[in-house]
Amino acid sequence: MASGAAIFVILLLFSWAGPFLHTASPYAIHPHLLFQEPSWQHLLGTDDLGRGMLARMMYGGRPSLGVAMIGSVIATLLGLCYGMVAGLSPSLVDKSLMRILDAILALPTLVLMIFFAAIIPLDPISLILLLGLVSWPGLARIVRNEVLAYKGRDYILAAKQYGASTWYLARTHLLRSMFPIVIVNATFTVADLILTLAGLSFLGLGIQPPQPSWGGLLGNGSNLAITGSWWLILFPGIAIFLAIMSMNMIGQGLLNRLEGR
Amino acid sequence: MRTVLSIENLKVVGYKGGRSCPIIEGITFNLEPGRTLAVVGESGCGKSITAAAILGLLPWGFTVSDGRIVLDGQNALSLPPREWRQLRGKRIGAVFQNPLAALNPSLPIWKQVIESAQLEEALTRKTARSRALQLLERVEVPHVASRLDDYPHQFSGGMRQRVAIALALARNPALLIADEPTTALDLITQAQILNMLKRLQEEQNLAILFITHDLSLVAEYADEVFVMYAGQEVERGSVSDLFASVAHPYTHALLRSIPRLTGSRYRLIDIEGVPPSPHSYTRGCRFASRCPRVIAACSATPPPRLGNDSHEAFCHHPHRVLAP
Amino acid sequence: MISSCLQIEHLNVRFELGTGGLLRRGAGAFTAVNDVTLNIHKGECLGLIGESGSGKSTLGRVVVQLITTYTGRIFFDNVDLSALSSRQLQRYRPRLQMVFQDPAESLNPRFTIEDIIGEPLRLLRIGTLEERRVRITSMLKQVGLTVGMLKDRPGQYSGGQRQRIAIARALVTEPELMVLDEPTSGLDVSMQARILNLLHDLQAKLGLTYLFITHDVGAVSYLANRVAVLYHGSLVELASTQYLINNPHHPYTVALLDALPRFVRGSRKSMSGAPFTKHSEGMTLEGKQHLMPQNSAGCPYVPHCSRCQERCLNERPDFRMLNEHAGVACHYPVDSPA
Repeated sequence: MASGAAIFVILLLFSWAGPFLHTASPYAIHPHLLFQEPSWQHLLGTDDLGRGMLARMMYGGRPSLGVAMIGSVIATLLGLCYGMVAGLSPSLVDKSLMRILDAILALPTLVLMIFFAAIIPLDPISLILLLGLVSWPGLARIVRNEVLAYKGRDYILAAKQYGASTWYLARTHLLRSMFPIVIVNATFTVADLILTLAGLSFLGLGIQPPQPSWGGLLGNGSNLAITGSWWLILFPGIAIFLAIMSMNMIGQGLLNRLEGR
Repeated sequence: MRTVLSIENLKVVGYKGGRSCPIIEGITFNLEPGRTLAVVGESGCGKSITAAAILGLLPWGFTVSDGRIVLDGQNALSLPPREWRQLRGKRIGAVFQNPLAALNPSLPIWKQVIESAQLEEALTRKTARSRALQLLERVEVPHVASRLDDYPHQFSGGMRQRVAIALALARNPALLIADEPTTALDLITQAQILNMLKRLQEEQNLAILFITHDLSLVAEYADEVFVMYAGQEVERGSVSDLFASVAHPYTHALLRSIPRLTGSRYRLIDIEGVPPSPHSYTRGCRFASRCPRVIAACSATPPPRLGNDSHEAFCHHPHRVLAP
Repeated sequence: MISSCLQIEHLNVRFELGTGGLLRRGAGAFTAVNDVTLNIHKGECLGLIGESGSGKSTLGRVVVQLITTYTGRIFFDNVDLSALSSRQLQRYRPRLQMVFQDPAESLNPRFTIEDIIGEPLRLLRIGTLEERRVRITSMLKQVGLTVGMLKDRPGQYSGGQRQRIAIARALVTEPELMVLDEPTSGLDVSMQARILNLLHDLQAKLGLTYLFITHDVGAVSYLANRVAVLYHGSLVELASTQYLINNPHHPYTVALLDALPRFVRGSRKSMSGAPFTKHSEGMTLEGKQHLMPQNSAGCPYVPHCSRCQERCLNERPDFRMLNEHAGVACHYPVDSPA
């Protein structure tokens, strides 16, 4: 878990603190420096417009990681609320809420995103909201099942016997009992969203150029693969791979630690 | 008489974080056909680990480091693992506290009961069913014929334990290891099952290793008692001798902590604290820290063996003096 | 004149079986408690014994108003609890407390011990923060635990210690009536003895009234002044403890006492001769269960009863007092002169 966290922190520092060390603009076009291989002048090479890949990678990390993290927070909160409400509601309400969830789960995320891309402008804020909105149902189902499992516990009964309200039970006992599973799920969601976002950008549906993002850079690189510019593919690929791997390592580590108790 | 099982100086060690610590130290006992030996102690005293060692079911990280486990005259630890496994499977049956753990929820009971017998010989469906019927009748499952195709969850706790016993006895073992078999059951069901085991024991000359924390059951159902504390023997003897003159303060406390239907008001003995963990075992008597009769010698030197072969105890300051 | 702490009148609890769904519809209802009338005296310990599924836990949960879907009336301090709204009930909750069977289940493993014992106070809004802290520490000492444990979580402690934490939590609101639902059955004998002694001492010191639910006849005889025997939801016998041990009248009580190991039974003679085989006439207790449908008109004990006659099959025996010590619900009670 520690190594996962270290990798992720390095990626965060790279994206947010990096530009203070390497001050080149990610947007400045240099017509005389197209397709430069990595060298001491251009550590990660340059792209088809002569823009420095190092700067673009740094700035590209911000939307990739930021959108995924904030999107995951939104998805977690939504899933938690929906699952809690369903689990604590009378059985008929619970059942209807679960059927609605089934319907939402049946919608393919990608198709949904293509649909939204067609009707609203794709900037980081709208992507955060969109990704947050499409990735909560899984957690909602988990939370709801956990609530049902915990509901019959004696400590819940004991608290009820002292007159605990449903709101109190949800806020204290249930939330504390479910904390591990929710936090672990949130980290896995971050990994998931990084991948989804990269996929969308790769398809041209994510962060819009000229603003860089790792997925977009990868997409651009693969379009230019014919030029033999391997560095345009390799570096964004490694970044995405490292981000997802580190998040999964954190999630797995948290899971082992919290379950181990 | 020929012994079915004899345990000689059994030692089990556990490894944790690269360090090994003693779990069971120098346990010795013999079990003859048709007899019941009760192993008694609080949880964490090593009684279930002893059973697991005999069954070859020690949890990961535990190994038998010394001693002999002799079954039918063959030393388990010197046999090739494969042969030992076969001998064990044939000669030992086991039941545990939770019968559901022993039963497959997705198989009808007749198939489960007959499963181990089918390892030996191929049975036709018809003979298998009738064999299963016999086995279940032996453990007094009522209306068996109509319940052969039922699944474990369709039975009550007591009936499940009966099915588990039928399963354990399917290959006519010489030894039954019963690890807290009735702890989770009602009083009447408990009595019925223990009486049934007693009847089966007489019919088949079965040896029973009965593991329990309840000495009141021991007095009723066992022939010999082996009291364990912190991985060691503290007192051993025939039921009649031991209950007539309990020597060790631990056995005494276990016995006097059981509420009885006496006419007058009395106070239960309760012993402070819990058994020590294997990391903190000391040279002296391990019960010393909780013992109401503790004297200076207790924590300094290992307790001496008192008494004779029919009743022995390890104690510096016993309740009763045992004749050597 | 003995003053009563809690009166239960004609209590019935039914559970609907199956929670809907096409396959399980019409599974019907299950009667957990069947027309029980019972009186708990102030300052006594009333033992409630019966096998699992006899409805004894359900009865306990009704008493502390954890189950409110019952018919019948429950008087506490001359107030009919069944007629109160949940808000009005709130005023009575501190005075009625419960200790559950398994402390591993009844204590939230993620709470500190301070949070656990303080929870009833927080929920019932009793005292200021400072007063609560004082109460929590005094409770901890009361049950023989140390103040150093306050910030720990229950997982680090043994079953016996956890049960003491649960007892401290129940005591913290200074209740008058404590329902003890099998508080010792998950524990080793030595731990059982500790808890029983503790409960006994607390009762003497604080003047508590107990409803002690258990299947352990020995424990009941140790703690209880009177014993109620429940069978399949019905009250079949109620007597003072010593009288019941020496003169059980209901065949089920006889079977129960005979099933005790001799060591516990002491000098008491087995009444059915060969213990717990004769009463079921060669059939096991569970075996005859399906002989009679649960809702039939007759006595629920018929399938296991050796004294059963024609009348028992068709007419359910009412509970009646036999003498000043004991009452029984049986047409042909066992007579056993002292």
